[in-house]
Amino acid sequence: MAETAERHLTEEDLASIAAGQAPGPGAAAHLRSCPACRLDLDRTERVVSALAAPVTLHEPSADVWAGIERELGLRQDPHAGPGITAVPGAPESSGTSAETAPGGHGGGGTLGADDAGTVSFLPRTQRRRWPVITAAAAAGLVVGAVGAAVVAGLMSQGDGGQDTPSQPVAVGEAVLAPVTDRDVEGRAEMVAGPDGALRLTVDVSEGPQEGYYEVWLRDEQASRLISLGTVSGQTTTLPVPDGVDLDRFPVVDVSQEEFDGDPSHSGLTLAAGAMTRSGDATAG
Amino acid sequence: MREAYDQHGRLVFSLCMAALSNRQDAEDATQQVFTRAWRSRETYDPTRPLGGWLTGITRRVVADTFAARDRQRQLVDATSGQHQREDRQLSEQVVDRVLVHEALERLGPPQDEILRMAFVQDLPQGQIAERLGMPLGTVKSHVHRGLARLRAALEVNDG
Repeated sequence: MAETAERHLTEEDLASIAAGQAPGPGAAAHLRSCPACRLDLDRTERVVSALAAPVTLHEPSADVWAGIERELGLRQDPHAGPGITAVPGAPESSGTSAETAPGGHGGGGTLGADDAGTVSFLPRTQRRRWPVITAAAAAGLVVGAVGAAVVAGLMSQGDGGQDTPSQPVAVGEAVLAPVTDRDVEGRAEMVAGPDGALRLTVDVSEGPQEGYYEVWLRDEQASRLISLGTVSGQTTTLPVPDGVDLDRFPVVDVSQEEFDGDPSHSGLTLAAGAMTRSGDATAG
Repeated sequence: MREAYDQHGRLVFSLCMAALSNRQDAEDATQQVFTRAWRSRETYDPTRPLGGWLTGITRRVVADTFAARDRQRQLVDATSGQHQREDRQLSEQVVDRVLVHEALERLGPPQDEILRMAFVQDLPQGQIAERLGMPLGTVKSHVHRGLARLRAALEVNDG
């Protein structure tokens, strides 16, 4: 009954409704049944009214940073580079509890050790537009669906070699929730081979009808992405580059791509989900 | 830390200025936001936008600053009974405005200018196209993309 299969509102719909035009009947019906679009519209309206009320932005004076440095005693080693930036703790998402971060406390240590800061304090480099991803994130699909449990300290896997298990070891998995009305969904599983090399096996519910699918590892904001390769059938195993830091790229994303020769993400995510680290899957 | 400050110092300071309307207080508050952030860095979830986390801390610091002002005032104003009205905290609208305008500045030309013309000056898109000598379709698509990017900036305020 509920026509959730209808198309989501386009940017054009959002812009014109937020600017005060009445939504067409189709859009109005869709809005009633689609919380994600309602949220997008609500935010677009907030953007429009915030734009109409300019504020003055202020740059803090140099004293402020000097004060921070003084208070935190960051001065002692001016060349400490990344050591000065933050050491992120274990993921601690608001809604979920300790169980979401297996080895949370210990994991924090691993994480802090050699990855200080780079994970957390991302520069907001030019964010490209990802309307669809944004909608999905808004709906809580991207991360909420898998309980926001994000990999805590996987880096150790990269170098391999400690125990050299002879079997592939499960590193993490992700439930790929559908993002568009095409309802493509799937699963992804990452394993470490005996040599420590990571591979991601992706199952999608339906192969591409046109163009092709591309699999990405990305951060939650989709401001950083690594392309792992293309998917043409329903199950594909792709090699993951050595040394990739899964804490920085916790989300698996499957996009619809066209044969347009443009190597960047099309902006159309079909399914995505954050990777949950495997419990304690070490061999034996 | 320096990176966090470079990226978000203006946002935090502008929020403090909007709430406290006093440069010295806003600078003190900004300093507190970043020192608190550093000290409680274990509670930061790196999968969430840093700006949102800092905005949350800013709210608390602003609330604390108001509380401190109150205490001081109770001493001073025991006799005068002045200073009743004040916007006691960082309101949602103010946060939205600062976030949106801060993000607008980052959009860069020509998108920021087009959005200003469309939503600050309220010009019809046809007129914007004419002024900038751009096809109407291009203006529209800048408006749509720009709004989407600004919307993403608001997400950080929605926890």
